[in-house]
Amino acid sequence: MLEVNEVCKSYGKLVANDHVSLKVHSGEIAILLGPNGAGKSTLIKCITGLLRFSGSITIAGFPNKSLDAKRRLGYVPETPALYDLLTVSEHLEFIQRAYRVREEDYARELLERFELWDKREKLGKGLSKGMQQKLSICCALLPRPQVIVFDEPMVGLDPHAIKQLKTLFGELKDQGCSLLISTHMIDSVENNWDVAHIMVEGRFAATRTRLEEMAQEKSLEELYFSITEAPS
Amino acid sequence: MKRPLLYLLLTRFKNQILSLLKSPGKLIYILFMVAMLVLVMITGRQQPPETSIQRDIGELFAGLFVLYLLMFILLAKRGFDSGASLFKLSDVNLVFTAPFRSSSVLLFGLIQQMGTSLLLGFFLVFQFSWLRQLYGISLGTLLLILFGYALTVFLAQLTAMVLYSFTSANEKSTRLVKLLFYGLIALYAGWAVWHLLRDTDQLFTVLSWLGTHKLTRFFPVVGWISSIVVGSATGSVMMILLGSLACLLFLAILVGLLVVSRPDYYEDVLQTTEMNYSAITAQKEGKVTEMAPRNVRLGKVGLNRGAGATAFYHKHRIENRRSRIIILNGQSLIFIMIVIFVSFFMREAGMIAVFAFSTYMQLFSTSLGRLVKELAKPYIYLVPEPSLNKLLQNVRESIPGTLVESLILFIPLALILKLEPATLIGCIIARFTYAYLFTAGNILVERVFGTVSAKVLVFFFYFLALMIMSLPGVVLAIVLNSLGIVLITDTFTVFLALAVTNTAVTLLVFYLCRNMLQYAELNNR
Repeated sequence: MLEVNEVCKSYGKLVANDHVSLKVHSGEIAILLGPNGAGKSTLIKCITGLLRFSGSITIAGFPNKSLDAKRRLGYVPETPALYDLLTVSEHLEFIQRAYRVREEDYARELLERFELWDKREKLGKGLSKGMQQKLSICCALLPRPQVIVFDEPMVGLDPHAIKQLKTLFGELKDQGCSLLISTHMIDSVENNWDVAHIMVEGRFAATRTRLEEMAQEKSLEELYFSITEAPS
Repeated sequence: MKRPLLYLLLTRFKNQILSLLKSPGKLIYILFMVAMLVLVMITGRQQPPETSIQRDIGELFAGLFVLYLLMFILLAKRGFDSGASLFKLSDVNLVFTAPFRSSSVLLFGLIQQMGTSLLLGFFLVFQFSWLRQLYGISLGTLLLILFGYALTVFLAQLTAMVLYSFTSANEKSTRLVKLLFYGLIALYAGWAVWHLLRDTDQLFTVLSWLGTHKLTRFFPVVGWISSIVVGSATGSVMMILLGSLACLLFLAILVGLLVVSRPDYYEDVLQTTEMNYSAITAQKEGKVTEMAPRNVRLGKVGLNRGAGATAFYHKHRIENRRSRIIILNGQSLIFIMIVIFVSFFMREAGMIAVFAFSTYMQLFSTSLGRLVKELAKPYIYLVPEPSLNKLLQNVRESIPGTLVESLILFIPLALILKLEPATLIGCIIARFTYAYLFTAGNILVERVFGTVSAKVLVFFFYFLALMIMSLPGVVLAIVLNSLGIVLITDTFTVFLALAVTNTAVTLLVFYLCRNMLQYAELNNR
């Protein structure tokens, strides 16, 4: 389970996250929606331990900067951060070794699933943006994390990969993983999500569960536009 | 040139000036540089050339030739690899697609490049003081040297562009032109080194003789440019005329080749322009780009070793192999050559002075190696291993290079300065420890000022931290010296004191920063 409590993060005078709290239970998918500059990526970087913040974040009960938390966390960054001079297969070997993953076949399974198996000897710098994104997803999933954070995972993906990723979201949810997905494409998570947070100016302007959405007249998309396009 | 292009050139220039006034940081930097420049000029002019002991100006001409040659080789050889471009990405998107003749666009690019070349040589102006002291040169001669440097950069970039245009599609012609290019340089270098080695006792006399030799003056491009500079400095009209004529002819041939034989050169510069743009953007955003060759030889695939933090080290070995950094990179070799070159002039000042200069240069050449690249990616923070382990494993790959660098630098220096073996060993050990002292300084600054986004401020703290960290070694050396404690030799004792103290300080800083990867910020600096 992922738990974020009262997280605040500022860059100088700019408050990027203002007392943000959320929970993503095991087997749950939470989505983060919001316009550009709302603070979604900052929150994700705080969760993954890449930024300093005030407040607390736990991953499967462990403080997010602890080794126990890192072992249980997977992160797909907004911009794929790959190594130019490693091949596709070497990226996965590196992750396997760095995370001390014993399972041998999962790397191949992931590469085949994302149509990268035949590109396994291609260098990181020679991959298209979409392929880089797919590899970045494979790297995040390889250690079989319990909590996975996706920052705009669909950007640059081809229709096949988008389909695969959507299926994978469902499978990971069924396996009991906690997923937090930041996205601009509301329809990309379709019916998989359990809770949606709409973020505006560093705060949650609205939080809606799936059940609430089904009971209400306004769709999530309509709610999003009513909040983000409302005159300030 | 079409009027819109002229408008673009002038507007860009005007906006650049205006942007300086709008940014206080940039303005302070410019004012500081101007103040430094004025100071250098005043102090330089205060040294009356007639009273100081001046060296043979032929030495300076030889040195200039070597500097121009190095710049020319470094820039022109890019024509065999990625090519060169006179354009910005905005030119590609807006000017290339606009209804202009490609020759007009080329002229636009050339004028734009001339300005950049002149700016690149600005560092030469700061050398006025010592050049005047040693060779009694005037301000005019210094400006001529700057002009020669700018001309070298300009012609080298144009050469790279032409080389790329004509050879990139054909491996055979690339090999042939490469052979000619490097063959000519090797022939000249062989001839010069042979003369230098033949009479090592008269090194400066031979150097001076080489600097004014006909073969040097007629050496393609760089020799012609040197002729213009030397001719102007010595009042030889013939040299100025011949040099200028040769340069103009060369420029005409290059432009002619592009305009007449290759009017559709846009494709040739496109890739390089895009690469330059990515590099500049990455630099602006504080990202570190991989200096990878265009054609990477894969070689053996797979890490095959390492678990946990050591996986980083084995990954670095693969990356170094593929980026063709066997042990040392080109930049380290250039720094070594500069130190050896300057040591010629400093040899009378003694080994400690030479070592101090080499350490000063080391400040700029020491980098965090692959660690700095890792710090810009999330994996070093995400991998579930103790922070100190990850830190040490990420610095590990630089050990062989640092050691070899010390050997390559000090063995020739030991021959030149006729050092005792103990002093040589002392130098090597001390330099090795300084490399890690500076690395520790880098890490300390990253740990403490990781969130500061002002680069100038970070550099200031970096140099301040290094000065403070270097101090204990210097103090111990002075104390031992004043107490008359000698181990083997005086100089060896100094280097040993530096080495021992540097190691202790480095280990202390590493220990204090052991949790750096837990608390550092992966921001966009």
